[in-house]
Amino acid sequence: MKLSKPQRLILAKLAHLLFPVEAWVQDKVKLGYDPPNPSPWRVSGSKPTVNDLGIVGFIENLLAHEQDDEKVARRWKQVAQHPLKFHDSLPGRSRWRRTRKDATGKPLLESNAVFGAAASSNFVLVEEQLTDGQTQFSPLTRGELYQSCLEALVRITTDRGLLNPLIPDSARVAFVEELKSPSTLTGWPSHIPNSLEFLRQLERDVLYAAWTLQPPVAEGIRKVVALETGEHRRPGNAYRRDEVQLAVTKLEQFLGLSPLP
Amino acid sequence: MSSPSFVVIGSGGGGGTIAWILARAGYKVTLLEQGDDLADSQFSKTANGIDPEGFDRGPHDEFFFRVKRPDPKRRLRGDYNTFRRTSAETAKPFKNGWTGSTLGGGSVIWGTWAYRALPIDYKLATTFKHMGMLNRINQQWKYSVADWPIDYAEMVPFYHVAETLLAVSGSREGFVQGVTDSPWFTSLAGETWFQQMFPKSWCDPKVEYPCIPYPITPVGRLVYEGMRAAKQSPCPLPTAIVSPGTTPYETRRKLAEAARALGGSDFWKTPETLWSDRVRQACNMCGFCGEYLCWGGAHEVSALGQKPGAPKSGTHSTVLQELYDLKDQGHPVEIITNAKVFEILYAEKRQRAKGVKFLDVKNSDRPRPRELAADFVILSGGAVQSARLLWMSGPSRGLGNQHDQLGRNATFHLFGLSVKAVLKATKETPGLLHGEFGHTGNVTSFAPYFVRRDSDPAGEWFKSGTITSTAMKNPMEKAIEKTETVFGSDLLKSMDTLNRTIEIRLTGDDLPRPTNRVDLDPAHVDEYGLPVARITRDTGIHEWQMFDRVKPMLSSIFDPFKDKLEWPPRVSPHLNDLIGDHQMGTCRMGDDPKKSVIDRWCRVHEAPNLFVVDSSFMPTGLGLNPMVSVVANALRVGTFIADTLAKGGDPSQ
Repeated sequence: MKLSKPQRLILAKLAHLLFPVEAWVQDKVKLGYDPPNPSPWRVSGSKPTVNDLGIVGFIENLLAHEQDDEKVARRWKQVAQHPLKFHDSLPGRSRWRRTRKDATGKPLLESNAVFGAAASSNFVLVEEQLTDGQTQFSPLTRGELYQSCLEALVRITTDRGLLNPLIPDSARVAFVEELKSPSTLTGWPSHIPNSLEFLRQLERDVLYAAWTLQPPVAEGIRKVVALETGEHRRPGNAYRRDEVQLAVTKLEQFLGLSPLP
Repeated sequence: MSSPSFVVIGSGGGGGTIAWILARAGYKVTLLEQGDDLADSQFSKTANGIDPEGFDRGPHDEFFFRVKRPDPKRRLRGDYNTFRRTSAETAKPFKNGWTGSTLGGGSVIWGTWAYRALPIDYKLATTFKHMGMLNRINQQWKYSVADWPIDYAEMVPFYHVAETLLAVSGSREGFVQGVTDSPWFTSLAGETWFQQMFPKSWCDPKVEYPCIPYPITPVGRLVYEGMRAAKQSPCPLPTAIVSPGTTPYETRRKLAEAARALGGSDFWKTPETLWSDRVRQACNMCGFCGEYLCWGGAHEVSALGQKPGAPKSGTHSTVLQELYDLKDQGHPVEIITNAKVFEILYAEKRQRAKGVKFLDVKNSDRPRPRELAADFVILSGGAVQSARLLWMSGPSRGLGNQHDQLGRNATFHLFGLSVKAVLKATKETPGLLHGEFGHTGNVTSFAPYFVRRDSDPAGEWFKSGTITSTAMKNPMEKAIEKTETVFGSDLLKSMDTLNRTIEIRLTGDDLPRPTNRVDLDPAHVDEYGLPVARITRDTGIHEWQMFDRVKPMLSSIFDPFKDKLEWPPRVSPHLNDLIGDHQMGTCRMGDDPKKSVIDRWCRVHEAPNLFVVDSSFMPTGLGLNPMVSVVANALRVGTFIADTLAKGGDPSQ
């Protein structure tokens, strides 16, 4: 899936409003915390934003590499339609479910089978009511989620003029609050996942980007969230015993403990 | 039997270990693993395995290994369990209840907490009888606590060998002192029955672990001080990782020393010939072992042509590498990954397993059915999946289920019990705890192994478990869990908080109950139409009584640091949460076929050439990580099979 220009703009605006990195860094400055150098976002006049972390590019990359998930989702939807099709085609298995009994001799397995899917971070599960009253969850990929929800967002924000740079940010902040309450949001199509589901997935994806989860190691301002949190871990680092002991000594001093013998 | 063949299902601590013994003894072994070799598939993403930035991108790719869902290492695509608390409920699809589905199984995901079980764990029914609790627990509260048919003394030499294969780092003296200084131990030490259970020789403090203790970390240091102040006799956590800063670990040399006590065994009589010259490198504390995958160097070849093993233990770094060597040397060994077994073939009249049927799921979209015949079948798929497979095999009521015992007495440990505290936000505290140093645990205590209140009748105790310091390895991962309810700036702040958080986790024993059971879900099937496992599991009076007694012990550890904490320590109330990493029971070991599924040699009563060697054999669940006991038991059963065959006997007789 490729994002259009308005879709990229909306993602950048939403991420900026959801993750106020600059204000968060200011809290750290007030606390007196001094992150390891270099920390270019601490330079006077610098105003780090979440988009400095390359959020939109990161999400575009995720969307460009999810053919496997799309394939799985398609297959699972087919399996859900005919859960026993493959099983019953195996030699000697077509009547197998009927032969299994419990200790009292009652049938162990029902004749109708259901293919379920458990909760996941890459798939949103859409609830579907079956004709027999049971509930089934159908998987929706990240791409399908972004595609349908960004289309809705482009339409709604255009209608409301929210992409106009002259509109004050307060109107967009109010709109984000509306997205968090899908039951009262007007104009959102009912046949796609609700706006809250979309915000949650976006939050997760922003966190992945902000935490620099995937190699290669992030440099410069892309490390702002990890370093301001006090996270030392990076792919590829290693420590010696004396470095660990030094950290223990620092903690002992903070807690007022004597060194262990 | 001249040259019998074995098929082993599952490559974790039980299956991988026993496959190595049988192959090393010269028998034909086919090892089936339903998952892929993730080390191989991830590693191959870098050109020739050489990374320009000098690290192994596989385990360091947290997005892939920790966050991506469906989890590529826990369970196969399109597979799941269902869960319900009681039999009155309808079970629903459930993401937990898996150990590992990758080459190496649960041992690859194992947190390396390398405890031996205590002698008292083998005789829990006898213990409760002496405490005057057994009737209340089993009759009134409907548990099914039983003694193991084997005892601790029989396992001791195999524990030594298991610890050697796993390169356990620790202090034996500290471990023994940690147990014997515990309040329950000192209180009971005067009882004759207790002295018989813990003879002075139960654990010799002079017999050191194969590696020196893992360094104490800042989180471990804080918890150590708190436990010491609360008189909870802390000790270094025995850890199955080659200790940092040490010379490369020589398994062959260590094994030759540890196996001396098994001199009467035909298999172990020349232990110096059993292992290759491969050495394992020391841990560099990179800290990416939060989900514990560590293959450091498993694919590298040194200038001398040696393949150094990874520092973190697990069958992938140890016995499976040896199996590949044996195969290269022409031994009749085969390791087949992506092999999802769906039936153990069974000849009902002869009461013998004949082999297995499995799906080759290398291409998950185009599974291919295959069949494999064998003289012996060894099952080690984890307590949930092993029970599922037995339910799908043999007679219509399931293989090994002639007395309706299959899947019963499932235990999972109580991981929901923990206490958390957060250091106050000051300019010094971000990063002060250094959660990145090494693995998750560091300092442990046996103080709550048995617990009581002062007001409880004399001698009355409740079984609990071990408590261990726990570092927050990845605040971002915890923040992702919060995205259901928390947004934006609150998420950023939550990561700050999590990086100042210390957790102490209880590995609590949930006592076995016949109603806690794994069977087949009547309706739900996996991607291939096979019935999924249904887990029915509830907690009972004993767990709640125990919880009430443990809570103040957990909180008191933070007493010395009250003025440094953001808020008072918070004890988690999630007693009923089921994670499922530690899954035990379901194929109970016992002498009476009416009350158990397998015998003392782990042979299924109604199919004695079928062995079950994962943690499902355990009659009671321990109060500590079961992996070392699983490996030790697989060594015990494997030695029995190899020695019996060497003498011309039949291990199924």
